[in-house]
Amino acid sequence: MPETPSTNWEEAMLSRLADGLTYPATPDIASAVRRRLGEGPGAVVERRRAWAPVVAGAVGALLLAAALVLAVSGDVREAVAGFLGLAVPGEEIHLLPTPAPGVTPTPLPTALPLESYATATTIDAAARQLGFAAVFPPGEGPPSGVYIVDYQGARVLVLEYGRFDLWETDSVILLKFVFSKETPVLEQLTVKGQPAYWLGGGGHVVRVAGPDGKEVAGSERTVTRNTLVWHGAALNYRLETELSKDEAVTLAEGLP
Amino acid sequence: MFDEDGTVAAARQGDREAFCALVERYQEVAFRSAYLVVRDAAAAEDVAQEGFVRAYGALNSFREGQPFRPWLLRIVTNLALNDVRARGRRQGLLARFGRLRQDPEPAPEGAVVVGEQQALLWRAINELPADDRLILYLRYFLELPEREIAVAVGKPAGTVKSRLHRAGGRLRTVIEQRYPSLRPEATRVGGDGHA
Repeated sequence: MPETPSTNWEEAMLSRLADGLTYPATPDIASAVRRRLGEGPGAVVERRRAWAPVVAGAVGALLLAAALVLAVSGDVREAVAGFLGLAVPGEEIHLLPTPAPGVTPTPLPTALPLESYATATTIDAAARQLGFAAVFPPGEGPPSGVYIVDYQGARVLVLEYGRFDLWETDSVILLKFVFSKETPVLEQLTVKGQPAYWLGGGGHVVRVAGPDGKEVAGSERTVTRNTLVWHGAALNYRLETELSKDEAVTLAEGLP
Repeated sequence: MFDEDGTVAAARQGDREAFCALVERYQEVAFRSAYLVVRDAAAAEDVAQEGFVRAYGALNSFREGQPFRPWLLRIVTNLALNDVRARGRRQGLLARFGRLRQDPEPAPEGAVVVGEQQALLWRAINELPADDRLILYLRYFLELPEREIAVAVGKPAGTVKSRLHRAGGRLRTVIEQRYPSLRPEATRVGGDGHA
């Protein structure tokens, strides 16, 4: 019982409610944890259900939903069927079963240029607007474009370079669905010893959801390039790139 | 006698079995704390499991000599709250949760009244801010002492006391404004069956 006696009727009511609550039987979590610890840092939750993302931090954090979409049967878009892992906190990737023979997959929405959903800015202006210090990949020189995307108050910085866009944020959570009729390249690897995902072999869709779990209207965008996602020391990164996987990892290793 | 300090120290040195001994000791409270927040057994299992793995990775930040339980619960409850925020499912699940409560041996007529009251009380609780709900769960459901609640929510003990008071006051306000049948005087009248 609580260490001091209840003196208010709402406290007594809570105590009675708690006393009568029947919890489900506690599962054998220790065995699952033991197995995961033995598998190293890339091990993912042994889940009984598709798991929600992990928070990355700041006030007003958003859920950035990343959906890898190769080709999707319209009637299966909402039926997430397989879970691939949660190596990167907040990144949740799902696969749908292969559409039945004869089913015409729904094509990806047309990819839009960065300027259509992001606000062009300058490095100096971005520094004033962002709540975090931007990080620039060493040896790449100044970016050809600097953009800010505002998701209900949570800002994401996008640095545009010739062969990649680098997305940086301190408050966005990445997750979501994968719809596929064929096996995409989804590889768990590490960046500076921390788990990362390499999403290759096809386009994907990124969605942003607010704290209530609902998608931010108009936030969906198609990404046709390969993507490396990982968490750095202070920021969450998303590298959308034409670089090879090894080149992308090398670049990522150079960021804090 | 479980040597928590020694077990934690061994785990910090990389002894996985020592850490698993901590998991075995605290998996129930971790699971239940997650369950209270996410209201789903499978989700709670996932959250608790992830919480332990996170805790293992963060052992270096654990202050030796401090109790392990509230430190662990801080990780688990944060994950659970994030899970709920992500899925935005609190309202629908609360109704289900309210039906989980079974009075041990209620009088036949009273059983209905008690069950309804419990369901209403869960609804009232669910209308509180997440921080208020969590601190009430830690105190009244998991029965943590205030000093452990302070660690679990990352606030000074004095703040915990005031936050408990504030959360209780908000619950009272919700009940009085939206669920007046839960008020003690209303319950007494209804319980007599002569309302």
